[in-house]
Amino acid sequence: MSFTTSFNSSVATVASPTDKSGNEVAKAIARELCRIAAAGAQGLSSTHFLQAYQQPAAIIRAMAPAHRSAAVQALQRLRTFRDWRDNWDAEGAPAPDQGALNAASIILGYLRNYPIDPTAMLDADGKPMLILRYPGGEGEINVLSDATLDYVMPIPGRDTEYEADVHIDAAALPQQLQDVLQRLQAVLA
Amino acid sequence: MSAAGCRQVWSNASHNQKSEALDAAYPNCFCEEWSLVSDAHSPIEPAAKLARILTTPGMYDAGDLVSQKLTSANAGGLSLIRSGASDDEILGTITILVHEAAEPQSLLGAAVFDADLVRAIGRPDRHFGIYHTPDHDKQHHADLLAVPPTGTNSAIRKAKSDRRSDLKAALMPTIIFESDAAALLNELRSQGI
Repeated sequence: MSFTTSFNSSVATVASPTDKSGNEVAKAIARELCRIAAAGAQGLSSTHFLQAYQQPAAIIRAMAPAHRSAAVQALQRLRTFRDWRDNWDAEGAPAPDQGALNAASIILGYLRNYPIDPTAMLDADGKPMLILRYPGGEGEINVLSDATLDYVMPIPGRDTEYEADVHIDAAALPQQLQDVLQRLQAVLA
Repeated sequence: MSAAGCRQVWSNASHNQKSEALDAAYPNCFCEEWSLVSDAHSPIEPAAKLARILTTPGMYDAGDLVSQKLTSANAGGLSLIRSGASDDEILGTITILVHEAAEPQSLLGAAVFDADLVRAIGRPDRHFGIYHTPDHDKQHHADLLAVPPTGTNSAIRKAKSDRRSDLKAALMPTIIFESDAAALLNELRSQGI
């Protein structure tokens, strides 16, 4: 199966009106995936696309309902950033990094089933930051490019967990981040 | 001459590399001793009053300073107004921040503080410096710049985040909430700006 055929099939699975589990998040993410594809898959390899898009429906279905609204807003915000140009903050910040925005959209899709409310922002370098708010703390995932991210995650009552230059694997949330979020989930439970 | 060297580094560094470039050439906030505009201006003294104009939601949202906005300290600097700025300089800054950002902003107010409040963060180490800097034709412009942390990439990442939190904690109590530009100007004057 060609990349295009496989990709279109994956998106269709998510966006299909016959998908009974479809919800607002599903639709928003499906629209985003279509938009990225239409833009020529900037910043991500076809392998990454295949890996990422073969499972978005399952990801979205698994998203904890309480956090769907925040996820939708964050995704919409990432989308808004795509149109921003140099000096978007009126203080000289460079235009947002399109490849990093693509990767952030995918990372956002994987932040499922965690007790967090993600918010999307930009840092002064135009790199997307996913702010994860939870009782007793606020974590940051800074998506530096289409291939790497940093994170800082204060765990309530414990040390802050952090890591730089984490490789983004579009097939899943980076293992280090999964481990941290699971520890966070255990503390918050 | 160090003043000339500092000014040269500042003018040669790209916008988002000011913090790194200045620290690489003159570590430990050495260039605070001079104006980076010209010898005709004084440097920022420890007791100097400074104001950071704040807009919402870009700089302040949900009852808190937006810490991501503070990442500018690690790049091109957080723009400040120093005391003595003209009405036009202050009102012009407000107009730009409210009307020229990519998404609509409203005036929230300003953080008003002494330079030493920020310079004291992390003592005896230096985590932030404040410099008199050029910004187009503004004569009373300053920049708050972070001192780049050292260590592994992960340690640097954590240090930047921790220091931003410290900066936020220091600035939050200094915020004056005033959404009317003329009224804010009066308030800034009464605070010594």
